[in-house]
Amino acid sequence: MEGLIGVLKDTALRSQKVAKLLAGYSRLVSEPIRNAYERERMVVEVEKAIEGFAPGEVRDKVRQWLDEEKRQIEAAKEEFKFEFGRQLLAGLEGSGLTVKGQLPFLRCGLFSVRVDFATGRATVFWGPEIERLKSGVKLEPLALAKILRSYDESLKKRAIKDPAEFVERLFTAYRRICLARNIVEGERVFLVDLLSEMVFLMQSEGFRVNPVRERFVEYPRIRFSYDLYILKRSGVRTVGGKGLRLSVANFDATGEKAKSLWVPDNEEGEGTYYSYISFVNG
Amino acid sequence: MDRELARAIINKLGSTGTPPEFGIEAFTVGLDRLLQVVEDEYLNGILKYNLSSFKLVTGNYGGGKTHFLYAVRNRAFKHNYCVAYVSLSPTECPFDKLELVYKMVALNLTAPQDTSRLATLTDKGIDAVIRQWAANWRSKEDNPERLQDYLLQLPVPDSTSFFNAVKGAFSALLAEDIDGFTEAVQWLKGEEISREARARFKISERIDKSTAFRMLRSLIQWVHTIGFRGVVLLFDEAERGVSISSSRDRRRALDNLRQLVDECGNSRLPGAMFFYAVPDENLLLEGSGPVYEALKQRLRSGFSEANPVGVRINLEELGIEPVPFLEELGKRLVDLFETAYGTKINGVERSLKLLAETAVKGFVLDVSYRRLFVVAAVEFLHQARANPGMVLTERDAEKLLRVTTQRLDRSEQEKVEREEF
Repeated sequence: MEGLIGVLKDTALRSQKVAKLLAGYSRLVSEPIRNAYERERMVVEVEKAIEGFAPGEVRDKVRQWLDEEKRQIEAAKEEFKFEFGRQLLAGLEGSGLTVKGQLPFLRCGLFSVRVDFATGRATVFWGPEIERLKSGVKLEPLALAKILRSYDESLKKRAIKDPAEFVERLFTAYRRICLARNIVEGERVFLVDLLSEMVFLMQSEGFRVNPVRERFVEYPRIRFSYDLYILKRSGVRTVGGKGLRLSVANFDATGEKAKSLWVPDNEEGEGTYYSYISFVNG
Repeated sequence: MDRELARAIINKLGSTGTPPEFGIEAFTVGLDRLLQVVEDEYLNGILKYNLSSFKLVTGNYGGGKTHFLYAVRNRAFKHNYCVAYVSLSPTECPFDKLELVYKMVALNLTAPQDTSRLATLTDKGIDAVIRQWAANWRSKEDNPERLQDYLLQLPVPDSTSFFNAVKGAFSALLAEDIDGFTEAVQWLKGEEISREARARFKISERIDKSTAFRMLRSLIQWVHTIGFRGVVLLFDEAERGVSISSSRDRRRALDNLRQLVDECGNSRLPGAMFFYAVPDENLLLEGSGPVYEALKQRLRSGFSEANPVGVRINLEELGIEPVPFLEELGKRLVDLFETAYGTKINGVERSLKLLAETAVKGFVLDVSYRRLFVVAAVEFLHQARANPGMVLTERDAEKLLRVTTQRLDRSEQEKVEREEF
């Protein structure tokens, strides 16, 4: 008797779970193509949930429903794929981001996107897969366009406004490194080492007195890279009679983040890896 | 054009969308200006003065790279160049393994020929070139005793073993020694031969990674000395990825490429021109792995009428908008189709225009809209032939393109799976 109660309770619990999943699923069906991947994930959950059901009519009915649904999801995914490019382009219209390439890899201005239609996820990169900015992004073209727009806008908004002032800051940081390492000015130092020094120079007096996270001003390498691009584009090269030099990275260095930094050459996402910076006479 | 040839072309285009090896001029659109610069500046220009050149061809997957390379090949033939078209692939011919690249060059080396007819198997390979060399010599020289004088006067290329092998194959052929010819050709194609055969032809080297580049140079130098103007080598990274997989392979491949680019500046590659076609330069020159900046900078300048010394030929920028491009292509396909089936297909212009617009609008970021259009257009022409007066609606055009995309995707997937297996 007690065993039977247990079995019935367990069945009731499982049934409730499946019913709940199906209710959630029915909401997704209102937009079958847009939610194709979400539907697929849910179908897997339902499939797992009915595994505990004893063989019988209910289990067979759910299985039948699952088979039909899987077929429909495949068709919806195909449809989604067709619509994806068109919608992404529509979402980026007016942003100034030029889209090039072919799915699954697209270059969008200074960013790039790798799309995985099998899993329904995308990864957003800085440059042509240089730095991973966001992975596991839901494959929703308009949302993806929004992410790209916001990265682009944020980068541009926070970029240096005065190249002459920026080159001065670079020079100050460079001199500090030379002094600390006891090297002659004119020698090359790693750009990434200079970045740390730049970050330190950017901190407020408050941070120096009490270096807590809340007072820390961050300066990610992507922003540094973009600022260097603005500087290159501006043509400003000298400070105090010294000329700025960026040295191109060799093959091995381009694979190490500590030894190289990718700097865009243009708004279409072409760029160059540099390893060193120096300030030389003339 | 010959009806059989037109039919073969339509068949190839309609099934895969990839260009056939023959008769491509019949449906070439938008490439004339680029090809003319290649012809004037290089094939009929600096290569005549024993110089050499390297060009990187970029374009999306299905965007006409192979078509462009075949068109270059045909123009090179007209100017008496030997050509080798080599399809690079991770399994059979990755660019990091130059010895395999050499083998494929030897296997695909082709003497100038008529490209408006269907090719045969005997037209290709270093053996075919040697046969032609022998035939040419025979036609000019009626005294066989002068053979030794002739061979003595031939300049020796970088590899003496290579020279001895081609000389051996040539002499064996003239002496009707078929076994000797086969053995020498076997070595020239990079296959193993017996110790006795090596001794007979005075071959002391193997074709491996340490000698491959020298063998390639020797092949180019030899072709130049036997009466051809030079060699045009067409390397085609025909698949979606490049033929290089790991970071170490990538470095080796890029080193090979850099060496090739740099060698083009000296006189050791007389009359040679290299084309390296990649579906996405990003895969080769940028991307997540290490990057060869020195090479990237060498390959950066754009090739055009205004800058013929530029290195990069970008097939995505042909100076013609996508829809007019496809419309023009559609007209050529109709002509071809009519020749192939000896019938008139009337009233299809509007449908083809619609197909072109739909392909550009909806599929520009997907499988190349150019290839997609070609396959779909051929299918439509078959339908129009069966149902005269048939007109496509926007919905029909989209449906046709979708079905075609799925078909191309499936066949590509099957191809990848076959290779993996």
